[in-house]
Amino acid sequence: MEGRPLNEQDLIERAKTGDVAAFEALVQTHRPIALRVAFLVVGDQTEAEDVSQEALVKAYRAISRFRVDAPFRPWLLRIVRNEALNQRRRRGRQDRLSLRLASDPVSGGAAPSPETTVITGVERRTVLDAVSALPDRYRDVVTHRYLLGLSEAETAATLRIPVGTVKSRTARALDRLEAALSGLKDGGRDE
Amino acid sequence: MSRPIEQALLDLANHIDWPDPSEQNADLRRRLAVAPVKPRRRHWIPATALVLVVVASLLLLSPTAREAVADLLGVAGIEIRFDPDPAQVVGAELQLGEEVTLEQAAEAVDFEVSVPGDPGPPDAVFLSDRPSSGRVSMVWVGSETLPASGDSEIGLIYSQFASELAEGADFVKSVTPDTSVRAVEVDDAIGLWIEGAPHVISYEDAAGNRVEEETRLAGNVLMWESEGVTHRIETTEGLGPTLALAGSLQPTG
Repeated sequence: MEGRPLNEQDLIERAKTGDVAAFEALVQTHRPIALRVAFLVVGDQTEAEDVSQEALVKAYRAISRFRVDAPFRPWLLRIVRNEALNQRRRRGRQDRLSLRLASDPVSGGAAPSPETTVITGVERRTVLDAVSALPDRYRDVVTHRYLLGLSEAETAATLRIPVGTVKSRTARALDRLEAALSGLKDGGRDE
Repeated sequence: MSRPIEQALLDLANHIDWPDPSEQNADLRRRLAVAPVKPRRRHWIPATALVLVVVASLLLLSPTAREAVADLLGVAGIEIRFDPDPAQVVGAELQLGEEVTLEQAAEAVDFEVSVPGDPGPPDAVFLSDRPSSGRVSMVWVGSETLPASGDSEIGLIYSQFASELAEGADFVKSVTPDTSVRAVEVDDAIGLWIEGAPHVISYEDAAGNRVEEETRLAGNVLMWESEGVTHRIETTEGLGPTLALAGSLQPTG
């Protein structure tokens, strides 16, 4: 028996040898975000669960090809997103963002900062609508960077685009969102 | 995170009706148990030889350097073979980035990706983040009409990237006296035709990274800029056929 807890690298090494328990432990902490990545694409809880589980099975089968020195989470999320995109393609539904606001604020988070307390439900809905109205390529970087909280590098790896593209698209998307929101405040004037 | 819009997005993230992770199916283990890990392809190569193979593949493009290494290795009493891995993607050794499909490449970059009408679909497509706004490279295996470079099986490399040079940056050309550089007209734009010995062109991209352009085939290079996109064709062909190829470019999709 080993006396120290297994780190991610240990778990990856074990999973590569076909250790199911090690793989389960490895992906456990990433399952909630994997579910969200799938949900962003397919827009349905049950479908997102199926997709993320299918993706985990695929990741397990492919783990021998994973490079140990590469970051694991984006590798996994990329597989999840691919699986979700395939699923959406199979079913042929329109590409719409189907996020909704929760009726209650998410509990367990940090105490709200002064900035966030002044944002009302109506404003949130306006921001969400503006995000939904973005062209796909801008919406994808915004949802992954801000709604999922991925880093630029993780967003790049998950979306399979260069980091420079993440940066430029993020900047342009924020400009568009600002323009759309100020347009609303100015009385619905459109660009 | 300084812009108010960023604050609003972070706030939004905490108020989205996300799927409940606790409802994720519990039968993952059962499914994993019947999904065996695919064994890694094993290559038995002694460690020393492995290092030398890596070195050799890096030097793949320079016959002189390759001979020099082979000589050196001969002295050391080690035999070295230049066997390409048959399972490898065409052009994978050229370090052009990650292999993707043409559709993925077109989706990943902000500029419009073009394909030449002439030699048919590329045998492999690569995406790299040098320069930072992305580069798409297409590779064709040599054929009777498209002679492969003497040092590789590749007949043609076509790369394109957004011409986002850093403010005030200029191209630094590093060519030997055996290389000729001349200005040519390509599709109403002024291009560079670089012929002869291998060369390096380096510049800074918009993100401040220094990007080095080196010849990957022992061939000729045509570079030009059109509508914000820099195009680069590396080929064993002469100027005439290369200009014809440049003229056949069509946007994808």
